Amino acid sequence: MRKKYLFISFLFFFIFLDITYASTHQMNRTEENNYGVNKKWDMNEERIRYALKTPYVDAREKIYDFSNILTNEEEEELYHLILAYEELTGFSLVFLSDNISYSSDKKNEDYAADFYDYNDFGLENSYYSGVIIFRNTYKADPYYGVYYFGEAQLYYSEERNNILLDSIYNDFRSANYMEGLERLIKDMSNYYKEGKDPYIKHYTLDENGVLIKKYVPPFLLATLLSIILTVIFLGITISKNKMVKKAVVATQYLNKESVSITEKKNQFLHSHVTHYTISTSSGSSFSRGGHSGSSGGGHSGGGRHG
Amino acid sequence: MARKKALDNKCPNCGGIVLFQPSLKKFKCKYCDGEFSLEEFSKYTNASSVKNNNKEMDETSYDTYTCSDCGAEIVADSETAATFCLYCGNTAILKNKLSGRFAPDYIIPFKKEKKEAIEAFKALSKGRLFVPKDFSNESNIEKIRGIYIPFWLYDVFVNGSIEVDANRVNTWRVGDTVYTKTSYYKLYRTGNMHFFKVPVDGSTHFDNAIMNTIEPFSYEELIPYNHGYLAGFFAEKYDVNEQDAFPDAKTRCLETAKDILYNDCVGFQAKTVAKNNLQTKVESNKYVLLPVWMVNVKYKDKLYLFAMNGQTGEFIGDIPLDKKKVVFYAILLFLVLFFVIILISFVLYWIGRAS
Repeated sequence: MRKKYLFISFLFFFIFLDITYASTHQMNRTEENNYGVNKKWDMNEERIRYALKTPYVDAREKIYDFSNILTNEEEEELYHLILAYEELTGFSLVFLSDNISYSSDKKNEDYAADFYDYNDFGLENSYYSGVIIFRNTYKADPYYGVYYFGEAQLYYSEERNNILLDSIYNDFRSANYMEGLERLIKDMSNYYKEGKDPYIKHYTLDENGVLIKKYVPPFLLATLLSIILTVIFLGITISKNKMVKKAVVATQYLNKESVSITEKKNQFLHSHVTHYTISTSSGSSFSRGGHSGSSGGGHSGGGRHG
Repeated sequence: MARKKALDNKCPNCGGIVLFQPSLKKFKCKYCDGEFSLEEFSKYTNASSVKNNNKEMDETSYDTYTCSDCGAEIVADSETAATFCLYCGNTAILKNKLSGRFAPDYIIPFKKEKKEAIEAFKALSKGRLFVPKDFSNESNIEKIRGIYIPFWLYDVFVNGSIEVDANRVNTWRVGDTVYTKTSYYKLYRTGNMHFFKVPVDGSTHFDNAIMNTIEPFSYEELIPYNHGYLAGFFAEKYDVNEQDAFPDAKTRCLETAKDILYNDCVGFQAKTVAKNNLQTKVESNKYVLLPVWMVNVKYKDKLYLFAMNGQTGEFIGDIPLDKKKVVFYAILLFLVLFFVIILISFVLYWIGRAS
């Protein structure tokens, strides 16, 4: 009896823990529940197709370790870190691990973005603001990335994101996930405290949370251009008042038939050759504009192989 | 006729000839209508004092004539060849001024009448934003006068050579490397050419730049001189002889000749004339009278001379600026441009967003 009671208690405790931040439970997307989407996306045929390919999870769990790379203790610790970050920033924070085969980096980004967009993450925020940390344990080419949604995009530019990704590269590569995630969340919190990223201070969000450039009136350019054009106009108009000019040539009195050039000689003196090599730039260009996922919602971020 | 020594007759305003007007008991400039008493004259450096007058140090002399119609005394300076009797308005052609070596060879009679000159003067304001409002008022227009200006016409032969420093640049590419070859040359051009009837005005009373600007005259209408053409107009004889006037013509001919030889150096870049050995020779010169309508306009204590070619109608002069209008339009234009540029940038931003 006592053993039976202990077993039931142990089982109950385990299940309870599992429900709090278990990362493998999935629900069904049906037409009745709008395919599990409670965000403003217009669920057309294409979006329904993408939603049906995306796991439907309980957003309260926050940790979705489909690849089972974290221990229970690590999941608990991570959960507390996530809560602290959410309290500080007001952004949702999600951790996802999965094993997805891919041929392009964009597939990782699309998978993570769809996971965020077609589940109830960030519902309490304007623009569904939040962050998803994605670890793809695909054996042939492991990948990890951090992606930002809504107002989180204004705090984490590509410059900041690159620093964050680089800082956890060794940890993720050596499967030391918890140390990497601790460092990552701590750094993200520090960046949030520093304020919006100055690299994207001229950007804002449109109605779908896509990062777009703000309209900044070009006052300096308008002033300079107006001054230049005004001066040119005044110069032309005032010159019309000045008609008198001393003649320096007598071309109109020349008898053109009388012109005779009796000697023409071109004497070569010396020459020299210079050269330069055209360098082709292979630097990548950063497009500061955001991306849109299949939902139409905007996001930014990037990832690394390893 | 007795020659009487007189005061220096240069107008302090415009440098024109000043005559004493008995009816006004003042000296009056025949070009700008400025009026001066003897005392006012003494303020200016050109003016003679009573002491100087007593010593008769001035260089200008006046002649007096009798009007053939009314018998009144006409006073004219030594360069005036035709004028008007101040009492009866009759034209007075001072024939002895245009005889001997001062007899013109040719003349182009006036083709444009006074009313055409007045219309051309009024039309100067059109299309010019900053002309003062009272610029073409009647008091300015009535001062328009037709004057035969003395000119020298030169036939000039130019010959000689120039040396030009030049280079030639060739560029080509092999793979990712761009090569530039610069070759340096010395170019020699020798030649000769003729210039016909290059005009230089033979009077110190008229600004050379203005006389240049109303060129050219059409020489097909040059006819042998006759006093009769002067009736109804003013006229001057030359006070700059052919040797002294020639340097202006020489400079223009040499500059044109240099340009022709220089432009023959084709296919080269960065050309500069290193040496110029061009020379001129006067083949002939003629003394002619050419028709010009002139008016002196006074605006804000400054005189502006306007001249119209009495044959072709070319009307020129430096028109004064109304500074208040300049400032007003400058500010208005700046503001309009500023807002238009901001508006265009905003529209482009929205188009970019929509796409």
